[in-house]
Amino acid sequence: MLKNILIVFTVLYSQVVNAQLKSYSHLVGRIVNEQNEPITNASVQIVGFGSKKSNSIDGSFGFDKLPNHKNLKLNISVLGYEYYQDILHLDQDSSILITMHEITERLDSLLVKRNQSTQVIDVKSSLSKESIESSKGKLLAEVFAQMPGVTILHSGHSVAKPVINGLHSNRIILLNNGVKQESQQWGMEHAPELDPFTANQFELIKGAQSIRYGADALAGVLITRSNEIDPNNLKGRADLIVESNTRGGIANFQLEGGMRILPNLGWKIQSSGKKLGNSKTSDYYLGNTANQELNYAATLDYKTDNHRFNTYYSRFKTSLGIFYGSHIGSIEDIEARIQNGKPFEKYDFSYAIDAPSQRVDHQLGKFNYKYSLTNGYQLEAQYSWQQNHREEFDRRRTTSNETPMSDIILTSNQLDLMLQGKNNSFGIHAGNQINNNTPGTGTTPIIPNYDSYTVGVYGIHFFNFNKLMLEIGWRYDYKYFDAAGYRYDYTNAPEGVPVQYLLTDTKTLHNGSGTIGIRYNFSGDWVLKSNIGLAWRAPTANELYSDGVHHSAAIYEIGNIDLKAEKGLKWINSLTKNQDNWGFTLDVYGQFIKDYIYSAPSPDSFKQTIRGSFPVFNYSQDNAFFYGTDLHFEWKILDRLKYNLQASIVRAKNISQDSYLPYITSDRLTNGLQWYLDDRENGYVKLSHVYVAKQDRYEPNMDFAAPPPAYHLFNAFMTHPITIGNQEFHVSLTAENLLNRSYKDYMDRFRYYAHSQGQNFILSINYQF
Amino acid sequence: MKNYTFITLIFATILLLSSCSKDNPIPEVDQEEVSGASLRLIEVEAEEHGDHYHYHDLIDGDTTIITFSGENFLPPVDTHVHLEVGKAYKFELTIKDFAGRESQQSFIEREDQHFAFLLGVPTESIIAEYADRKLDSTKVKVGINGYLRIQKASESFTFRYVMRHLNPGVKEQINPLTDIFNEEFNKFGGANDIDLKFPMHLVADDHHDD
Repeated sequence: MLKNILIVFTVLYSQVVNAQLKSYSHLVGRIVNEQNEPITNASVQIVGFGSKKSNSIDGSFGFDKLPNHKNLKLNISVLGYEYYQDILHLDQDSSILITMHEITERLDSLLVKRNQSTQVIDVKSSLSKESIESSKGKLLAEVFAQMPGVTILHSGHSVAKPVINGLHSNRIILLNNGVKQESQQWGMEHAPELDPFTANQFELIKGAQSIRYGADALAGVLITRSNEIDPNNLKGRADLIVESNTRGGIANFQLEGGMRILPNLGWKIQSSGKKLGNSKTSDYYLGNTANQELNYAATLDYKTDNHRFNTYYSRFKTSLGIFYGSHIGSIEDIEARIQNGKPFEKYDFSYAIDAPSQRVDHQLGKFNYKYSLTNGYQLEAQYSWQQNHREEFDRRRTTSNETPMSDIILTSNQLDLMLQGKNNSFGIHAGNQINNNTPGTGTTPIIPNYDSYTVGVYGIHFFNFNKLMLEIGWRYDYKYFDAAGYRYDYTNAPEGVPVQYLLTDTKTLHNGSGTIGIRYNFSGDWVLKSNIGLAWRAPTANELYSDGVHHSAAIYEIGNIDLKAEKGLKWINSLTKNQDNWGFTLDVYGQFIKDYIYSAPSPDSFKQTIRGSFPVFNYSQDNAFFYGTDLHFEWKILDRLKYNLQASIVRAKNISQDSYLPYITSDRLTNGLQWYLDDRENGYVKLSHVYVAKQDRYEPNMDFAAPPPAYHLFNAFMTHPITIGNQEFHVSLTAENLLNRSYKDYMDRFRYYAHSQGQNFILSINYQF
Repeated sequence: MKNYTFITLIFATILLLSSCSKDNPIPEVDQEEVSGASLRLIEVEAEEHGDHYHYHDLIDGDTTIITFSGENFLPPVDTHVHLEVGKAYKFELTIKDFAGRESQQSFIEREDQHFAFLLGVPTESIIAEYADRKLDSTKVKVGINGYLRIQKASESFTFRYVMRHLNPGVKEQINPLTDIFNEEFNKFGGANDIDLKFPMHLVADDHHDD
């Protein structure tokens, strides 16, 4: 393995050296509008040589060392102007003047206005193109975890859930290409079913954002979206990724363009696949942790003068093994493993996926229509349909392991109507969810069948007072929930056999939400944002109706049918300063959650079953308070050398009980040095260090083991373009856990049984055309 | 085109939203769960044949049956099993599923995933061997059926029977002769399918307990 890595590094290094010997020219340019006024902050891209922003004063830009005698594709985009494309052929240092034409089409100009008014207030961050490219092939949670304030809740290596400021699962909204992802996120071991290859943009909005996105967004919103399709340009990309730890590979292909017979029609197709074997800690394999995926998506986009139609369909199919060692039966088992420090069993490498395992198929379809009204408003309607089919397999005795222990199909329909203006927007949301258990599992379902109907109305109002911008939002939601499922009455067991009964329940929940946000631009590039948001969340089916042994956790969980809705008030403040050579964003937040729902052990309460004795965990609610801070800092030390730092601190307490809440992210700090090779477009080398502190704020009686010690990890990344013939490939090499450190993370639910992943080398080849 | 698209979309969606509802739930008979168990101990004659024993039924052999049922799956309050030193006993475990059907044979058929551990037994006081047969008469070592030869008297102790549902590859690591009484059974990865406890007393043949 080491030999192969050295070869790759040698090839990359030789490419760097060769790059120095080529003949290059410099290109400078200036972008103006039709009135010859400079256009600032335009995105200027030379395909294969990176992107830059035009100067914030005179609209100029420059590229160093572009190769001579090659066709270079120049793309320029800026809000409110038509997309600009040209082919350049340089043979000497050159300067160009580009005149951009304003978009006369009402639809797009309205879109621009809307974006300008509604997106500037939010406390948000987005991933840079560099970060997105360097995270290709990773799980969705891992992609988002590059942003300050986002961490991961792991259930082994292949199941990762994003956590925002200490909250996760149903307290986070995930927007998948404009559609609120509806899957079975109630499970701690249920990862979001979304292929990161479908998106080109990843955004995080921190704060209680239930106004635009509906209830549940207590912690924040994670947004994935694709770039607009340019129907005049046929383009695509292919990615091939291989990694050492799981001896696996990932492939992605996408193509987009237009049609001559329908000039305004854009289309895009994309597909990705993954096959990974058992992952390995620093010194042993984790049996049954292989993973397979096959995903595909298609988009059609059609624009006319005042109309725009967009349809999107995606399918995400995954099959993943659950570590054999996590299949335990009692506290005795957990304690024995904690004492041993690692699994008793030794497993070899394998691509096989055996029970226990999960198989999930998530389909999403949407139809979006936008219509520009003559009074400056835009009307938008979106219908979406989703189906999430989750099958969970376990080691069975009476039938084949191929018969799922749990087989749940969740179908969701959503209709959103929006009237959007520059300063005022109004919307109506209607949706329903049908949750059905497929009969024949030979197991009483954990979640009963249910249907729920929701209706919401909202308004957002924007005020601009020169340096101060103000946004006020309001929303009212109504939810009807109807559940039915069979349960056992263990107290009624004639001849030892407990009697089943049909549990039925309906709930009606309704609540108002609101948000007030400001943005103030100080002099000297200081920007302050402050946002107070009130959001709420209805209790989920498992929180209401669970009654049984949760085997992977060795606990007996009992739901609480009397749970009320959870209400969260979050105040988040963000201070940003951006200079030429350095910049930072500091977020400080506090969140009070009334009736916070959690599962906690009942003191000295055990449930005796024929499988042994299990501690009883009841769902209950208390008031909780979360607070913390996230910092992102960047410093351009030299022209080619950049330093960045991210740090997050979360504190969370159950203020009703004056106790700490379990599974709260411990303090962490990530920093890295990035050295650009020759030119920014010729790649870079990055060395990064991650420090995760020990979580000292925990309740000993709420966990089986004390949190693991603090750890340090070192990672490396190198990327560089390689030209073969006339084709340019971007090759990158990543080394994760470079020193092969053996460690456990407090936020890994499998830390009781095993260590986290060891050293991993990832080679990625990307070709864009 | 006007707003026909818009209106059509709204009506179609409303129709879709209102036409969906959940299915009526169908009760499942839990196949993997166990509703109750009973352990039968039958006195037998053990005949030594070199390095192994043959066991023969006795016409007047004592039989003890312990039933585990109810909400807590505990044996009756007055359960106290006496086994006599020098005697041999056949044990048979009967298991019922949530439909009340006997399901012990399913453990034997999946013999690669199951093994019973006998715990809490004082050192060298009992010798145990398993004698299970699959439906095709193949001899396997699971621990649903077997024999106990009582070697030494002991104080009263809690006898614990744990049927382990083992992870792949674990059964091969178990020595069915020496690991039956292995108190570190947790190191054999898997879950407990059955965990039964009852008081036991190994007595000399002249012991009489009221």
